[in-house]
Amino acid sequence: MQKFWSILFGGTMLAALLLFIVSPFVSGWWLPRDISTFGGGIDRLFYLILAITGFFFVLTEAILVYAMFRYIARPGQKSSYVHGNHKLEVIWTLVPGVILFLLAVVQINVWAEVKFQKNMPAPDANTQQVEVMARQWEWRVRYPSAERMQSWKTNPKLAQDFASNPHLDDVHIPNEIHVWKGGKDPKDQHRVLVHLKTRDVLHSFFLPNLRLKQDALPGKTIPVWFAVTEHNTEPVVDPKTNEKHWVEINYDPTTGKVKDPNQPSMVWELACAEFCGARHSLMRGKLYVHRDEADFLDWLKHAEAAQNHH
Amino acid sequence: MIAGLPGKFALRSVAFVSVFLGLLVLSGCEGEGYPDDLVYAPRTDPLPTTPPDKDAPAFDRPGEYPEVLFAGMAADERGKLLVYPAKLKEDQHQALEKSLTRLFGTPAHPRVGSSDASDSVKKLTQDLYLDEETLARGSMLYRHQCLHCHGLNGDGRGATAPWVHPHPRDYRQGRFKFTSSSQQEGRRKPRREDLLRTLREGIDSSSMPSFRLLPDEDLEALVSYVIHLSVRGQTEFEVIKSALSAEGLDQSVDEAVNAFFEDVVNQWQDAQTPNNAIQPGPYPKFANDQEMRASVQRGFDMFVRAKAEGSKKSAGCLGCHTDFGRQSAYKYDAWGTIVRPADLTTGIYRGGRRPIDLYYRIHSGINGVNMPASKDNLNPNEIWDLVNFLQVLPYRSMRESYGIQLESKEPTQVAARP
Repeated sequence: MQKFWSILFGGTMLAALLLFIVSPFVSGWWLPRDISTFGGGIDRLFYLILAITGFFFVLTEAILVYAMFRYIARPGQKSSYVHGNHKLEVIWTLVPGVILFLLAVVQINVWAEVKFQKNMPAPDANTQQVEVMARQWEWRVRYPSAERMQSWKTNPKLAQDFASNPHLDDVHIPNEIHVWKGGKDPKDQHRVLVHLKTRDVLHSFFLPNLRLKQDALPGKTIPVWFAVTEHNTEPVVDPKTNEKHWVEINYDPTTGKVKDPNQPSMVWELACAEFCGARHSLMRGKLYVHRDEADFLDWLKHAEAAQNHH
Repeated sequence: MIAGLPGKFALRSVAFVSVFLGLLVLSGCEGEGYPDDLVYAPRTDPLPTTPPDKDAPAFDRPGEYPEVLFAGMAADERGKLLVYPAKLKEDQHQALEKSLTRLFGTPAHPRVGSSDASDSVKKLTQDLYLDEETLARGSMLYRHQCLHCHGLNGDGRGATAPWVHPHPRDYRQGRFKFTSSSQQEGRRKPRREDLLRTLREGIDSSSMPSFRLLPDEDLEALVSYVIHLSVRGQTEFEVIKSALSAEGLDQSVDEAVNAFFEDVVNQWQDAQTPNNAIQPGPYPKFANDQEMRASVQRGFDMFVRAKAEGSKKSAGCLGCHTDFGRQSAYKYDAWGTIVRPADLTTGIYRGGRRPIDLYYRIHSGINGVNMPASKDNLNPNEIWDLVNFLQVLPYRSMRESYGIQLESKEPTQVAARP
């Protein structure tokens, strides 16, 4: 009778484990598509830690369920008093400690690649710069105009003040991050430097498809970098108005639905990952990756023209 | 599994499981609309009427709204500006509710006009996509995205409303701040594209976010639903105001509802016609930088000049946008809340940052606040001069190169201030 609880525990955990084992094979349940240059390293760490912790989790829970089942109180039975086993306790402290230490060492390179400022692209002729100002409850994104970007190519020193010196013709678009793709190799990467700010409270700039997350702190401008290896945005001409729009592949912006469900979704999201108030969960944006610089500049010029509407 | 357990365990497991499942069920789903039996509540909060152009004390504290409208005013002054629906007689209340439900339906099944609607109502429904299917979809989306700020009946008193500044728009007066229609003030309604612009761009420096990532169909449905709430709200507003005025109603409540409804419908219909859109003058072609410089300088002069001096015009801006907006006083608006003239040195414009948006604001003013129209005072080129100046104003390096000298201390950075 009392074994009911151990059976309930054991059964629930087994069901959860089976669900977990099944999830990589169910569309949408596992990790989103990785399209960044440093995402691979992060995913490898994820799997490594998952394997280690998964093993120990199953082991400890199995022991727990077994102990609940085997040693459940019985009427008339006295409990035995155990003072502990010093050797066992040393082992089960040292072994996890060593594993954790090894993990800490193994992850340094990945962390350094993504987060160390000395490894970030400098604001110069070849780096795309974007300012992302988080606010309750949207992302206000500022791009340099095409002309400003061109001036950086001829005089790289001019590129250094983008974060602190807005220009009138900078392009302001809420909730859309537009970049273009590059290669995987460090030599052909197209690197983007984001200047992350917040106007009010803490937010967190989270691009799941890039494995990138950075808290935005009030009062600080925090540099964030990434490079993307695939594109998801194509120009489409509206037959009725003859206007060009940039739309994600396999996405219909009129209905918000995927066009062909057999093809993967190419909608790559930006989300807020630090609770920031009533609309935190609705504080979403999109990542638009253009196929090359020319297409990006085409979009940028269209956006500039729309913004400069007299 | 439960059978055969001692009573205590069975009770506990059943309780646990049912609470868990109950929470799941009650949390609701994104794709759901309002419950079928939900009705729009009768209006009990006071109707604000337009306040005098008077400074307000600092804005209300977080959480205070909407207990006190026109906060900081003396009670008798405030009393003159507010109309209290509670003073309606019981039979008037009931008749009003009945008529409004007949014309506008319920949150889950909204409509504009009953089945025997007049031709003008039918035309409005067609032109503004106010058919029942679009409104039902809009209602569902509104519940998910907008309800928490703008409230069930568009009163701007949702749960989040007291905690944000400025407070969300109350649609029930049929007044929207940022319009490009050129109708007479007081009867001016937004054009559909104005509401779409607000949804797509959000209102920077307020809590209204951008919804441009929603599918286009959803945006259209939301605009329709907001128009529905506004038409309903304003019909109710006008009937109550009229019933409680000195003359009272000279017809039955139902007739009054129909009459005001037709009038509101006409206002919305008018706004959508092409000749009721502001026609901006063409943007002048500046042959060289000297001419642009002269334009910016003219704009600056008109901005700061307090009164017209002979042929030199005054746009009178500095009078409210004190120190170019950096030291504006708080003022009351037509909704009974407190805002202040924009700080024009930030480069953030609530009604949109495009030059044409600035043109619209200067040309026809901003509804509901005391931003006056300049269309009778300034010709189109002069308005463009002002727009050119406004575009230069937030950027120190541009000011320097255009020779604009601000009198008081320079702002140290272009930043947002609420």
